[in-house]
Amino acid sequence: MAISRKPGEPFRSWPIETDHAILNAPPQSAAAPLMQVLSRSRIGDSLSPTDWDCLLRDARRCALLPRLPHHLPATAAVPPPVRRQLQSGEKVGRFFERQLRWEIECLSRDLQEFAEPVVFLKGAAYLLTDLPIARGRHVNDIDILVDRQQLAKAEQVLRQHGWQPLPVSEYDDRYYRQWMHELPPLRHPQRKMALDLHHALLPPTGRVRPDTSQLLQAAQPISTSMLPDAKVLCPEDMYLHAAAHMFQDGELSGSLRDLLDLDGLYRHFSAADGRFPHRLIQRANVLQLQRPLHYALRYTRRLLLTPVDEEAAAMLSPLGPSWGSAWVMDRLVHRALIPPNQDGTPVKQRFAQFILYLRSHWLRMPPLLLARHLTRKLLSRLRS
Amino acid sequence: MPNHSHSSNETCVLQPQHDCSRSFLADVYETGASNGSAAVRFDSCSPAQLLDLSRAENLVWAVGPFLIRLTTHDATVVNALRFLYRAAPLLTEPATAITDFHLSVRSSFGGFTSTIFVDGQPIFRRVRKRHLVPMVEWALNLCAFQGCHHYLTVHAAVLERGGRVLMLPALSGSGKSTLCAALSQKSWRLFSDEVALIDLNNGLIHPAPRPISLKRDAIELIRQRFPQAILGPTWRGTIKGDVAHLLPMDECVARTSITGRPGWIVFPQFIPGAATSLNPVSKARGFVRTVEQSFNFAVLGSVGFEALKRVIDQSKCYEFTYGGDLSEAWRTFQELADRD
Repeated sequence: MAISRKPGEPFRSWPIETDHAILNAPPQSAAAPLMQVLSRSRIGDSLSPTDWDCLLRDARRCALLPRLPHHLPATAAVPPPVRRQLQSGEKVGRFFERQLRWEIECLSRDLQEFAEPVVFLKGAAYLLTDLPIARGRHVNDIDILVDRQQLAKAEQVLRQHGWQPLPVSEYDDRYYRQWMHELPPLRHPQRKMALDLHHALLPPTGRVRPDTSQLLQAAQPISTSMLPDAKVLCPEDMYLHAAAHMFQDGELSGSLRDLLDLDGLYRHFSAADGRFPHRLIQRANVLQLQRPLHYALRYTRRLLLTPVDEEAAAMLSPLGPSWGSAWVMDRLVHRALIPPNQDGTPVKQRFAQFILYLRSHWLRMPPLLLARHLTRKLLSRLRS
Repeated sequence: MPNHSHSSNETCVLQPQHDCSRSFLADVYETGASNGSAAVRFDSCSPAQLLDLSRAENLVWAVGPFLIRLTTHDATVVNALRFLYRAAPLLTEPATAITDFHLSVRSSFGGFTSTIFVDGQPIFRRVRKRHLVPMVEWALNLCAFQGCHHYLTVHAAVLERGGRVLMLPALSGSGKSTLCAALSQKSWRLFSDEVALIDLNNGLIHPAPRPISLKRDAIELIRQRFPQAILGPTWRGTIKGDVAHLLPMDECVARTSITGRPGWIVFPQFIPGAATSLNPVSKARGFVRTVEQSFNFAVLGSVGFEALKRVIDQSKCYEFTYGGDLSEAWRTFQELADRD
């Protein structure tokens, strides 16, 4: 694609556009039916048996079978062998929801004495606000956010109720407490799910540090929790957190599910409120999260055909990276996210995931600290 | 249908139920038996034909109610499966089959070892050539254990007689496979030596007859006791010790589409030298002990509870201790079948 640039004008990022090459790819290429169904560009009726066969394999491979029923329209003609696989996936999805509800209930009971605002993040928040993306979504751990001043109190209350830090090395413990935006993960001996206690969305050592007090101010109370002061982030912050988690802090390996979250959040909130895209951009400016937002909109649109508001997309375009970085990032993200058309993880995908892993660390802390941290990690790995 | 508590009432693509009076893949098994167009016997194809199919990702055959698609260039694997699944239906139009699991075996480490993939994910890496066949069999086990929540699955040996099903839920090492092998050679129809597939709609039990994997001393025991039994080669030094596969009877495989209703649940225990004894246990205890052996009771929630309740209601529950005397064990189960 030619980029027209007047002399002296800074490089503009690529216009956000749908990557038709992916969606029109021949059926045998990388997970075409899965990407088509997830992006809702094809529905059940037009899928051939070969497509269905491919779709089910790739959905199972990406652990997306529990979500698949929610991406097919209710009227889709589903052949019986597919139906029973979807039924199987749906059972698992309900199990995830039930399990998470129970864990939230137990945690809420333990937090009663805390008596300060607690903001549920990510999966727990999606379920508490009954968002469509909570259906069939697997949750590894519960994330909550409290004010930094209250962090010690929250930890103390949880410990009194039996929560214990997962065994981590002394160095890791210090690493978390000194430099990270969360404490070392906690676990209750009688339950399975871990708890991440956050005091910020991103590490305080990183280049972008959204102000937690702003988030707490805008957070919305929820009635579905038994905790009196339970809250969730407002819709814009919820989206921005998911974007920051994926493109600022995350390693993007196996993150097709994270991208689906972004797609689902955008579709849901923008359908409910036409002003959502604009508020999203305003909020990104306040929280310094323009770049992750840019990436989130760009890749949900390219890979999952999220109907991103044209005007909003145009406003975001200048916030993107330089032409060169965008070119590299496109290749890395596509490579890392789209399931390959072969068994296992091909070298190219592994490479892309590794580069993105390095990138996430680069963004997480200043170079000197990063060098120190990686050396420590390397040494401890060599020693063991 | 049980009413499960779920917050959303959204319409779902899953609403219409399939015809649950017919077992899944019934057409495949029934046409396979009459040599119709949908399927042929696995071993009616030559090893070379099968290898061509498996190279082209087109070797699709039925294992119980599941369709498996195999991809491999390894002739050893294909030949072994041709022997182990000789009576199973092989689809004649594999390209358009919608399968339940994709299995592939690929050379790794310069051809010295192989990696086994299920649905594109490696589940066994760097498998030595001499352990490959038992590991492929084990991979097929894992498919049934982990990936089918349209059934309530219980770790159990399952056999049928007169339309009623005997379930033997137990951990590995309880003599379950040996007992199951012995019963399957004498007037009991083998459903499975590993997993009970309980239908969530009607509480019927689906057969999934596969080779029984016999371990260590059980191999010689069965070989001597039942000279007519067909056993594969003994694979030495696998993670479970020596393993050999006992083939299910051909007519067992041909009747895979015929389900059975619950009859007896017996918890076996092997104590070397112990006297054979069969003692009734309460239904409540039977329920709890079956739950302990279930793979997905928690996943299914109330649906699983209802299904298991239906099974327990129709079953008599016993505890069975034996010390290795297979004739006495067989006689005990024979009496049980005639009496209850």
